[in-house]
Amino acid sequence: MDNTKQNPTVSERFVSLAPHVRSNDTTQKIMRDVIIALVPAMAGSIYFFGMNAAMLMAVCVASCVLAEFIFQKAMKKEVRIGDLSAVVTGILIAFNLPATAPWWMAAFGSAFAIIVIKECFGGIGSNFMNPAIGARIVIMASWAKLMTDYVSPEMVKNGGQLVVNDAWAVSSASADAVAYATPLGMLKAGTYEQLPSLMDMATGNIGGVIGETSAILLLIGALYLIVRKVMSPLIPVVYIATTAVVLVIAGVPVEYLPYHILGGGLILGAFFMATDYASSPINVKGKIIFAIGCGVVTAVIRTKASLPEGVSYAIALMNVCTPLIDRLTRTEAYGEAK
Amino acid sequence: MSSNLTFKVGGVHMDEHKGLSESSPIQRLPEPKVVYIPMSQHIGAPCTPTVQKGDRVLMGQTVGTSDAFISSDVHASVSGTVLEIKKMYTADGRFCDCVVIENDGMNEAQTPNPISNYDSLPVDDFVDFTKKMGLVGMGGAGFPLHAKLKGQVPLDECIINGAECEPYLTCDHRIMLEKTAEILEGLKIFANFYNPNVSYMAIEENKPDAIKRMNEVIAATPRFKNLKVVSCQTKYPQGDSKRLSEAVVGRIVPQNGVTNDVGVFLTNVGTTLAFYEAVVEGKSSYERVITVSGAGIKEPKNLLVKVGTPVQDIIDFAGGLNDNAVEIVCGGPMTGKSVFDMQSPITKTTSGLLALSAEEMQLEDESPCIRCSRCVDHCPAHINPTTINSAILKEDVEYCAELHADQCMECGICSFVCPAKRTLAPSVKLAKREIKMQAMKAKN
Repeated sequence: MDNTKQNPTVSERFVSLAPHVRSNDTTQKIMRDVIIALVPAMAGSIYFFGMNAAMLMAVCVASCVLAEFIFQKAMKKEVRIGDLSAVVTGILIAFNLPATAPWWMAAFGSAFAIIVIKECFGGIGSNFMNPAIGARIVIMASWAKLMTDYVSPEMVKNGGQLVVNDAWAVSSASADAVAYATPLGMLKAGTYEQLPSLMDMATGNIGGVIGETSAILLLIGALYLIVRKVMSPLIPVVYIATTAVVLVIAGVPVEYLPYHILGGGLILGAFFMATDYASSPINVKGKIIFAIGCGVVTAVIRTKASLPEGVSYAIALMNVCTPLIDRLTRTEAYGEAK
Repeated sequence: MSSNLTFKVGGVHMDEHKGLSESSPIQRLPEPKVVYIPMSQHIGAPCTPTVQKGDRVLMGQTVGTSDAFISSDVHASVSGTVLEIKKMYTADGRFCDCVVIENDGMNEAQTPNPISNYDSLPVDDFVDFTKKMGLVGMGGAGFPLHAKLKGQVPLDECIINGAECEPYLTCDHRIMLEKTAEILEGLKIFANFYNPNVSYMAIEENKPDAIKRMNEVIAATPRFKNLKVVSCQTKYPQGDSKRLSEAVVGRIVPQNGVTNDVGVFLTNVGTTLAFYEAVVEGKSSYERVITVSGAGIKEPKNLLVKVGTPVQDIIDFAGGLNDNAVEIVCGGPMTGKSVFDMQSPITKTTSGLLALSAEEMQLEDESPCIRCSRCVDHCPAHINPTTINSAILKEDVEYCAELHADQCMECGICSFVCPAKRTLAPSVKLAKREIKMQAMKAKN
């Protein structure tokens, strides 16, 4: 029956090519670590913005995973939802929504991110842009009003304004009555006296999208990823430093820099979106160029453009430059003549 | 004592698994009944047998030789009768002529011919001797030692490689502990040739007992005062000759070069011991210490084994395999070869036999690259394995060459660190070979 058994000198041994041992890291473990790192900020968003934040996260995660599953089934590709990357994308998309966002907008953004930005370009690892950034931009472009109806934790606590089913009604009501001006909006408008305390900004007791407000909780997660060696601090540190420097050059008073750094999506973007493996350069040199680019664009948008915030556009723009940066920063092999 | 020396580009610290065998003293393997002496045990031309079926051979007698410069003689490891000469696979997967000798168990050795006045002779007098004694690099590559003794560039630094950076392997560690004076005497002879002021014994920091022992012997022997122990950071592939040259004397070997090109004589600690035994005791290279380890082995050990011993005999002496043993590897887990025939013999370059369990190997299916850049970050050759992988899958050999795939040192780190479990190392090796083939085609 079995030929190998008839020849006693040739055993049926497992044969493979070197190396014969592997590290115990897997894609799934990396994604699981990212999810763990996002838990403090997730908890914070529920604390500050209430159950609507939880609902948005659930909708985004469910839609991302479902969209990936349906797409891969329909395209007869191997179903890879087990790698948990869609879960990460879902959480990040939710983090980019204001607490008043309606569920259908969250679901649309999630499906768009997974199907158009990720799967149509080849799935995990092949996306040219961070899917969460893509989702934020497309929702922003489609429903700018709904996307900028920020509420502050105070307003959530006062109740009334924020009822899930009424989200649509709230946002279509008189914007000035309910919408909360973000610290970046105040900086833009020059209404410095209304700025919250830095303490509130660091803890996240301010208005904004649900995931970006608490710098401290995001940094706790980032620290976890750095310790676990899932993420290198290179891109975020260079990004934030460049943003600060360019802001000062562009005339932002140094005493307001902390507001710029803690406000808006800079911490969330720098640590959790700009560091996206697939859409950031692969070499150290490339990563530095990428991060500097992100910083410059962010600062320029914040000071010179009509928008108060620029993180998502900066990252998206640099994501598109990644293949070029990779090409320009190709390594020279060890021992190359100097 | 200098410590924490290392190279700059890439590298990885991995689970060492050395505890399985590092405290087990070297035992001699019982006499094998039959040995299969491979005619190809080194880089370069294979040897031609100098014996015939029916001949009686003595232990240490030459059974194969070659006129080619890059080659080294092979010797009988037992006394007995030549049964036949046949083609077979060695444990590390070479296919070559093997002289099959039936052991008569008498261990009747050839008259040794040592070099008595070795302290006063120039290096030239050792070149032929070294070739005839069959000395080759015992760290794994098996580069004939005599070809290294004299360089185009004058050699002015001398380093002995006791890094032993591959996981599991502890044979070099054990010989450094048990044969300290012999190894240092070997280094002393090399130091006479190259650098009488200071010559180095480089050891990774995960072997503090070996470092201590070496220092003790040096301190107690005035003759060794020009020898210096340096400790290197525990990091794979510290034991690669080019990385060790950079770590110890700061000389970076140019691409496609060898350490000789930058004036560094560098050889493995096992080779140094064999060199000592050849010069001082007149013994040719026909046995070596190997590590038998891995979760799949019942009793991990360090064994003194005769060249040509079948894998099966060695595994049996180590208590046999556990049920969880999936693969048997000849050499270290990062660069070793799969053993597929248990009768295949070990060679001078076999540093270990490992029986690995599925758990140790972390066998998993390939999934798409997530561009995490770990392979790039850890690559000691400073190339981009994942891009080379995708280029060679598209058969774009030219792009592979542009990406310097030919500079891959085959350390296996890219595959090791890849969380998507992609087979990066084999694909870069393939790219490297395709580039070579294309260059050869272009020449013709």
